[in-house]
Amino acid sequence: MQANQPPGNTVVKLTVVVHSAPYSSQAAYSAYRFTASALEAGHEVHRVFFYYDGVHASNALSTPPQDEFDLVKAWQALIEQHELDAISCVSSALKRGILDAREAHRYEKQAANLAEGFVLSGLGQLVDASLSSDRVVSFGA
Amino acid sequence: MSTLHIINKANASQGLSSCLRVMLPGDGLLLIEDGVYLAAQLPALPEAVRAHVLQEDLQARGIALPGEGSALFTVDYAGFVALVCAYARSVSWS
Amino acid sequence: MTPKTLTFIARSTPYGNGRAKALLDMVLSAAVFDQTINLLFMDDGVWQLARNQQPATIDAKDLSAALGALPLYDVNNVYVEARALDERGLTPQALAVDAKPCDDTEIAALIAGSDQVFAL
Repeated sequence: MQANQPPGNTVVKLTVVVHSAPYSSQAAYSAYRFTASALEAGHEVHRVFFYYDGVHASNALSTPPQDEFDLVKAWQALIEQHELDAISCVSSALKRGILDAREAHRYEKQAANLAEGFVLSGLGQLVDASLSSDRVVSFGA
Repeated sequence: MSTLHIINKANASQGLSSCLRVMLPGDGLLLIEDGVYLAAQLPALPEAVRAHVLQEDLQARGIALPGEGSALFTVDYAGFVALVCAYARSVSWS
Repeated sequence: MTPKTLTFIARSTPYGNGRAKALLDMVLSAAVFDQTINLLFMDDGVWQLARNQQPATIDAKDLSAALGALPLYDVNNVYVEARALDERGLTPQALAVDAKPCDDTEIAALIAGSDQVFAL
């Protein structure tokens, strides 16, 4: 049977929220597939917000075996190709050991490991994106 | 405007039962991830609710697609995107 | 911009995982945007409202105390699923935080009246 179709060919402005970690939950992957499909359909992905365990998708040190899907790399490619605004929640990320150079310096840590393409910022960026998007869809947790 | 309710857990008590109680006529249901295990044992839906299941997640788990005459609509990821756009809002009952 | 309605559904227990705190942080962030905020406790989320929480025993922060501060953030639309309380032997009178008991119809209306809904 045919599923619901969106009204006409309208471009919809979407925000995607990711709550789950790669390799712990399929939801981290679902969010990626959804985002890629939305872009393919010509919709605007206003922001992808990684929150809670979702921030693990922005860990540059994630090193899956070669025969497994590399979700961090896949997100990075999608972010680069579509110039996506990809934000990892700074408070979720710091607790989980994901730091950019600035935070590493501030907290006197030896290394920074935020994957290229991702930006650390506050939860206000999720609220702001939700207020200016037509649809918000959340994955996992 | 109606709501798309997204279920991703196999145990109905982890989302589906609550979701079914607060659905309104015209709302949509979408089973994804482990939620697709509920496809075969979906309880009676509230009036005028369309239920959908994500094809990729069904196939990944070796579950047969709903046959002719099933009340379930099968969607792929493109269809998932279309559903999110077609309904006014989504709730992920994870 | 006309104000929007954001509804947050708290469905997780307070200390077994970080979801309850994560949702509360979302609510507090949203509160500074001058929009309409609804906070609804459903399912196991109603345990967040239990009285006499002493999470210092497990070196955790008191979530119910943080919930008590919601009026300071102008978050006044706080609801609780009456059925979930009943199923767990809790009563609306014996909660750590004031929350309006809701039935299924009222919860459906809350969701339908929202621009966006976040559940954790």
